[in-house]
Amino acid sequence: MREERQSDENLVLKAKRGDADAFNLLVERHYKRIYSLAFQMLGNAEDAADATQETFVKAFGQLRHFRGDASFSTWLHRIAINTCKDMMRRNRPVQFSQLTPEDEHAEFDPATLAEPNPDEILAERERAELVWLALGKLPDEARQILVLCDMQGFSYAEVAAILNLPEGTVKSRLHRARNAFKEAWKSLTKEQIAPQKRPKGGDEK
Amino acid sequence: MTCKEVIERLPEYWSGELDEATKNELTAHLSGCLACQQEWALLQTAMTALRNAKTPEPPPELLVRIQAEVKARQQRKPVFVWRWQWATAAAVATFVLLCLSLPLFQRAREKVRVSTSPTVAERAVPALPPPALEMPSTIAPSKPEISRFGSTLPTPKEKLAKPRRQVLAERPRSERISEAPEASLKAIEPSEPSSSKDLPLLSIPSGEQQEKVGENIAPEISVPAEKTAPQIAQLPSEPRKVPFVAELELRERVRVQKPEPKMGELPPAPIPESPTGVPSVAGAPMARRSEGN
Repeated sequence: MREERQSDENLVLKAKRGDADAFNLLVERHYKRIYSLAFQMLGNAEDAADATQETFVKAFGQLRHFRGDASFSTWLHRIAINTCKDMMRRNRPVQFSQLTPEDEHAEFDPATLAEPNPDEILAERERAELVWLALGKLPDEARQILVLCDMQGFSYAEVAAILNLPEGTVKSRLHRARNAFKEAWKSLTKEQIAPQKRPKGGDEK
Repeated sequence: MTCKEVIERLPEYWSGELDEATKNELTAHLSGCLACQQEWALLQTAMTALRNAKTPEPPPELLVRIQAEVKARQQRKPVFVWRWQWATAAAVATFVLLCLSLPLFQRAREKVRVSTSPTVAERAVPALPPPALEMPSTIAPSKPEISRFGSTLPTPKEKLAKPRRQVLAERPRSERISEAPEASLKAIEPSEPSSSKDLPLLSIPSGEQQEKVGENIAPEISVPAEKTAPQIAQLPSEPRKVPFVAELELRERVRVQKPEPKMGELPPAPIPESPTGVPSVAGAPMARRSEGN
């Protein structure tokens, strides 16, 4: 509990002095979020795990350069984003894989599973699939800003700090990215809806 | 507001970032435009799906994997850092030492040059520096002897004028020696028969010529006696012997002559005994006989 109360900055100071446990604690605190960011950026579990590990290894190597201008979390996310960008460049085109059974299982919480509504479960799965597919269609710049703002929940200021951009640029890019995501979503839903509507024939109008 | 403008503004409308006037305008447009309503509905659905999309949990072994990798790097890191630091320190130290030692090397080279140059000069021209320096101003050291015989030396100008004229007129050989000693030596020594021919001149009995001969020979003997030694050593084997023996004889004679004040008066003692027209090589034993007597 005492360790939990320690701030990231304190742990960073200790880690800089060579305290391995302090850095392990930082890893423990942040690795899930970094993994989710990597997964959202890269679209598959294997690359996300590799990117997460590389991010912490880099952070450990560059810890002495961390001056505390930004929070440790922001600094760590910056490293993670850059690591993901490097991996995307290496592994082009990015393969946003369909969720594996384990991933699907992890995706749904017991509350939703408890509801015995298969249509809703199917709809939720389809939506999740569509999200990853739509994200995979976006350019890297749009994807990273959507992930940071809408999926990770960072504020404009935080995203500006992570991406080293002015807040105004973050806003304008985010609006464009949201519209682009909507377009990708629209095209994907049309592809999915079209085969379902053909047998049914007419629509509401 | 056109449909295109409305669609562009829909994300801001969704996030509630539009000012009231624009928001009202957009709301009014949406209420009357079905296409924009569909776009608005699509955006809402997509953004809700995006925000609700849950990412899978990381694999359970990931935390241990990361911590193990970091630990491995931590163990490698200090070694690498120390190596790097030592390498840098060594490189800097080497550079500094080189920079400091460069001037020392240059000084050492200069010293070597300075030290070698005089030795070379000594080897090349053993007794020349004094005559070479005095030549332009006064006259070579061999010529004071000439001045003794010639006349008194009132002024340096006369020194310059007279002896040179005398040398030019009477003694071309001594002139050669004084002006270009090496050339004269070379001219004398390689031409061994000529030098050997000169030797009999010492044994010439005639009184008048004795002085002139003494004057002529004295500089020739005194100067080359020291200078010719190394040069003779460099000459080929066979022809060397004759002049070398003759040279030794000349040295011995010089030694004998030195104790006495005047060079010209010494020769007469052996001269009467020595026959005239003695061949060049035979001159040496004759001198020895005279010394024995």
